[in-house]
Amino acid sequence: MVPPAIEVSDLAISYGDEVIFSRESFKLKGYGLTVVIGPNGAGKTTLFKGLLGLIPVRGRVLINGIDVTGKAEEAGKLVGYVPQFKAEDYSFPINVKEIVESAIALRRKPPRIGFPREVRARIREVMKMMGIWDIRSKPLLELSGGQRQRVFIARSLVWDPPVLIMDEPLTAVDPIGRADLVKMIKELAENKLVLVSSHDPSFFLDKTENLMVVNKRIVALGSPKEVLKEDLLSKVYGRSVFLVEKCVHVVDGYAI
Amino acid sequence: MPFNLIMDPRWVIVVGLASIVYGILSPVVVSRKLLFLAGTLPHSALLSALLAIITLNLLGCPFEICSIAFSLALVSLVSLLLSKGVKSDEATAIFVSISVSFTVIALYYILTAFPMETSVWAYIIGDPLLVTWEDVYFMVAVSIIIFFFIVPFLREHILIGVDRDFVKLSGIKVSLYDAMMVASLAIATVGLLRAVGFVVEHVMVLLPGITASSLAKSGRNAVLLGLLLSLAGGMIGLILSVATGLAPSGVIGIVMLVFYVISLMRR
Ligand SMILES: Nc1ncnc2c1ncn2[C@@H]1O[C@H](COP(=O)(O)OP(=O)(O)OP(=O)(O)O)[C@@H](O)[C@H]1O
Ligand SMILES: [Mg+2]
Repeated sequence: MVPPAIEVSDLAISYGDEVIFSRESFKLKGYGLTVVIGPNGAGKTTLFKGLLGLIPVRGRVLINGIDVTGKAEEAGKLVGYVPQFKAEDYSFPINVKEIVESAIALRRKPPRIGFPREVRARIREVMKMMGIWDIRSKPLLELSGGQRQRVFIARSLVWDPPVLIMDEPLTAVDPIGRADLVKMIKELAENKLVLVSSHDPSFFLDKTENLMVVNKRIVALGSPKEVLKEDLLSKVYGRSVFLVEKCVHVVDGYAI
Repeated sequence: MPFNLIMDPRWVIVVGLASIVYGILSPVVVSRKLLFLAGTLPHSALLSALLAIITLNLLGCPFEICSIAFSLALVSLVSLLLSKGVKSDEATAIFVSISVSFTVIALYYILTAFPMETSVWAYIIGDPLLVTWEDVYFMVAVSIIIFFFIVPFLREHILIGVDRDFVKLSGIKVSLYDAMMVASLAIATVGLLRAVGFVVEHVMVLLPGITASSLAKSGRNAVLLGLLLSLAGGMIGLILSVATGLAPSGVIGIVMLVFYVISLMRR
């Protein structure tokens, strides 16, 4: 199998008059973890949605060499997506198993009712791997933050895509659950191209191939060593940069 | 004769069909957060029926076809407003204002121009006890259309409501399903208007889904429960109304409301 790749050229995204990105180009190649950081409203979610063709963009997005610009149905053939969680979307009851199954059900030809045995086995395997098999009948809104993220990661993994995009998977997860999730995401990055956004890059630092800093544009993209510099970060985070740096040092110690 | 329980099969068929159709549509309306649209549709259905009475009398255009055509056209207007970026609350306000004004004009015109020909009352308060066999055939046809549009794709419709982006990424043409759902609502609300009436249509399209989604713990159960509550509400309401001589659609509305209140207490 060819290693996965995301190639972006002259990407421009705006909401009405508000320009979020104008003419961004970058390449991510091969397996490994790319962490996207940036303050609230920096455009992390916007960038992901743009790559996935979920919002209108200009420019060009190639995933594994295939032009997926503005075509969610094409991007969705290559990328598993873990969206930033919005509770209000889940006001209608839907349980864990229904969510994980949906990734496979929707990819089948209609009428999308019932699964062959091997598909059911795969769904069970992934749910067990993610530790959510025992809670399969629970409605999503009754889960803890960590359980919820596992459900969405299971949904994105169940059809084994070469690329994963995860939008803030650590939000609302308690410290113990977070350590588990971080470990799991690092393992996934061993044979997938994983793009993950986070407010705290420190958790992933030892396995971070690339660190991308966004703030209404792509401020930096490179190895953590190249990017985690005070002058660069203070441009983005202003005065809170000391916090970031301090945090980096502290966690660096035990994360390795 | 206060406890006359002899029922014409037409009553049972018509109320049964309306309950099934709304029982299917209502949970999807709730999941897709189309409550505002579902709340405006009875208005456009009433206007469509009245316009169809006028075109029938003036031009001889068949009522069934014209009423559905008007309803689809009016709903397209709402969709157009929404696609232009008008907020759903504002689109509702604009749309209800337009349809209410034209409804009064149409009603007044019908009552003065051809008072003998038609009873417009059935469209407003609903009267399943007055339906003719022709009405029944029309409603059967409408129900079959809805059935084939929605039932095979219930999973997709529910999931679009829950996570639209994910459904898109899975390769589903979401806008096609949007159109299917909106068209189904437009056809159902006008096609079943005579049975349930404009007033209680609001209740039937909203309450089964709201009640079911507050009780159920899975999407599948919410859909089944919505259907069950709707059917039970329709049938119990019909029996009670025949027994008491009260307006059937009103009694059905009250039964559904009782279900909802019970569900509130169970939470
Ligand atoms: N649908 C939208 N319409 C208009 N503006 C939007 C929309 N979505 C996001 N924005 C704006 O785009 C900018 C980037 O938002 P985005 O959600 O991508 O940021 P983010 O980095 O993901 O933030 P967070 O850390 O809070 O998730 C913000 O200024 C936001 O207000
Ligand atoms: Mg975001």
